[in-house]
Amino acid sequence: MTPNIRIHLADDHQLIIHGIQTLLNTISNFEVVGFSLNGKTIFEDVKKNNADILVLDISMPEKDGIEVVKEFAEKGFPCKVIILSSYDDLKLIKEIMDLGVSGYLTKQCAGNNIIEAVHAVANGEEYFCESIREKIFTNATKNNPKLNTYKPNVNPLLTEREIEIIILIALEYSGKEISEQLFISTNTVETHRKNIMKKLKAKNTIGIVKYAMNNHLIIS
Amino acid sequence: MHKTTFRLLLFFLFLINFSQNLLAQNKTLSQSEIIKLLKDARTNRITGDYEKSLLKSRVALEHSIKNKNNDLIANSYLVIASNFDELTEPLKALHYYDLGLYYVKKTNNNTLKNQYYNNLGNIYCFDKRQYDKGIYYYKKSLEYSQKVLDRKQIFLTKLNITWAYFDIEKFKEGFPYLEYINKYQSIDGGESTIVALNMLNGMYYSSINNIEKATDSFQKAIVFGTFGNEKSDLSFTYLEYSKFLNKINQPQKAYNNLILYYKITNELNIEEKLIKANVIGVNLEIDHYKREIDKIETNYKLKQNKLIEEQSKNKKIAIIVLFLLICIIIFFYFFVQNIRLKQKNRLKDIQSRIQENIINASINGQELERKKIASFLHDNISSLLSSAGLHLNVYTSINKAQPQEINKTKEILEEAHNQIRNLSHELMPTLLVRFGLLYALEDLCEKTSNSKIKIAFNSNIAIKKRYNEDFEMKLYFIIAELLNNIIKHSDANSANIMINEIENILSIDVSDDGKGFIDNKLETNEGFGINQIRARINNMKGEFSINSILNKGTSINLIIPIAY
Repeated sequence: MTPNIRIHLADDHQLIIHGIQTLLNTISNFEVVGFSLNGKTIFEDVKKNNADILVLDISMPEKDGIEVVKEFAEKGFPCKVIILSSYDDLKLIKEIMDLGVSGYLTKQCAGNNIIEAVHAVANGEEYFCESIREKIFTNATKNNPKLNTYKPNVNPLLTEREIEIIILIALEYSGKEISEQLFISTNTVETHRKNIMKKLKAKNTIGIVKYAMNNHLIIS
Repeated sequence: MHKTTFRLLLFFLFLINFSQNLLAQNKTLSQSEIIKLLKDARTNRITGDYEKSLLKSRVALEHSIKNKNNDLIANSYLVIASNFDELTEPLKALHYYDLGLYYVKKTNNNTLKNQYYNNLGNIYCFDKRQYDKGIYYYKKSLEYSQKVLDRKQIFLTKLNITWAYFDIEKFKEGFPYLEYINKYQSIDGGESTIVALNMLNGMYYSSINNIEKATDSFQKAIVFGTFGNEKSDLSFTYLEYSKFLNKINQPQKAYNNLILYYKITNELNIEEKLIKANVIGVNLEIDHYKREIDKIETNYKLKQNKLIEEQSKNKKIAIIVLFLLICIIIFFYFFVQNIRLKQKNRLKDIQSRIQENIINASINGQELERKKIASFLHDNISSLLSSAGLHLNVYTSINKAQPQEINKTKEILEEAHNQIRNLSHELMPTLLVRFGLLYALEDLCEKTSNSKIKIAFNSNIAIKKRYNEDFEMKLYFIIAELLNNIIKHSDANSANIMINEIENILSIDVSDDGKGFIDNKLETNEGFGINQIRARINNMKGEFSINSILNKGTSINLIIPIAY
């Protein structure tokens, strides 16, 4: 039996904390170990209750989420951080992701995706809820004439994110560029690439490009 | 103000008048003194003291002229002229009558006029033998004597007129006058006229060839003349009688009468010559007086000229003063107008400032409300919605089921959440709140850019620099409004926002390459938006300028002092 994932919640609305807590408690190995109603004591609280994951709201009284993450970045992250905010502005997301945050959820998709997000982040992956992920990709490839707006998913093994990365590789984005555009680390990009190659049984990157062209993911 | 200028004017006029009075003051005899002097002169003349009379009348004339009394001047001339008349100097007398006549005409003294015209008539008829002129003056004299109802004078003048007419053989014209004097001889006439009257009767009857009556009249005249004092009239009677006798063919008698005429005339001439001989000594002096009298006149004229000159000088001064006054009044008028205009402008200024304040107050209120609503939506409603969503998820998670109604509800919640978020974002952009003005503006430019228009953002300021929250918010919405105008109206392909910080001042340029506009059109077309922006910038103590070239583009520059 895997050890419980210890989760700390931070939001200035008791109602939200209660909702998330109830939802997370439906998963057997999730354990909500504490919560904070403002940003001031989060660092200490998280350290004290030895949480694995912090679910953090941005707008909070006294010290907002961004300040908290900055503090983490300065002092070293005591745990992984998932942002749960009603903000969905890409710039803001980029800013906060660059500070070392692992996941970003909007409050709209909190109900549907938070469990998934906690799982992914606990596994060391980076996570965005679907609406955010799509927004990031659209922004990264906007105005690119080679992009085919129609995205057929021919291989059921591939995830949406993996298809995005195939497209970006085919559009000659480097690993670093992909990481910047999709707000993820280069390591994550590399992991995705390896997984894609495995799934497509490709020997190198050229195989991935070939796959993209053959399946009309980009206009050749 | 008008009252005071009027008073000033009065004051100046008074001054001018006063100075004239001063100039005119001199040692002059009073009018009563002159009258007395003239009376003396008249007495002297009657007693034959011509020299004294002339001296006195000369002094009287001088002072009369100074007194500007036309009546007295005319009287003086009358005395002088009649002196010369007595001295049988008809030409000199005429000269002074003429001079005096000028002043007489200015007076209403009918007696004086009568005297003048009568004397003039005498001179013209008896001395110059210009009967027409003489009769003319007699008639004028008659007119005035009738006015003053001097019966004696009327009678005498009519006698003179009759004689004058008969002398030029106009018996018909003279007859009515003859009738009159015949009728009134007993009342108005006397010893002095009886000779002449009978002679005239004789002449008349002679003219109508009534020999008997003519002879009778002439002889009566001779009888009266021989026993009376009117020797001159007697001599003329002899002359006329002689003419008559000649006419009726009695040459011997005629000759005899003519002899008598010459005899008496000679006697009279000797008398006259004696008088003349008496005065011949003073004649030179008389000429001297004449010159002096003339000098008085010329002096007077010179003085008058001087006076006129001075008056014209005064007039000029008065005109200059008036002109200056008018200038001052005009100046005052413009001055007052200017002040009024300034006041009006000030009022307008105050009004526009009030309006600006109203606009700013409403905008400030709007911003406050905007902030309130945005944060309320974001913090409370949004949280409530997501909390509701969470609980629905808890329900499906626990029951391991996905009922359709629950899913539908979740979708609705999500949609509500989206709309709330969009509204909140519109009211108060997240980036503005979180990362500040420049960050938010850069994002705004990127998001507003599309295939039709590219909006570039340039700044020399660190992208995350923060200013006072209100300041950032105000500027953000001003620039957003300007961008909105560009997108809506300019048809531009590219726009540029440049923000630079220079020593506590933000210089913001918003330019485009659109169709531009004519400055004055702006007020009507986009007046309200621009006015609001102007008001907001004025409120921030900033400057705002628009430079637009038709079909080239528009550039708007804002200079705003920074508030931290």
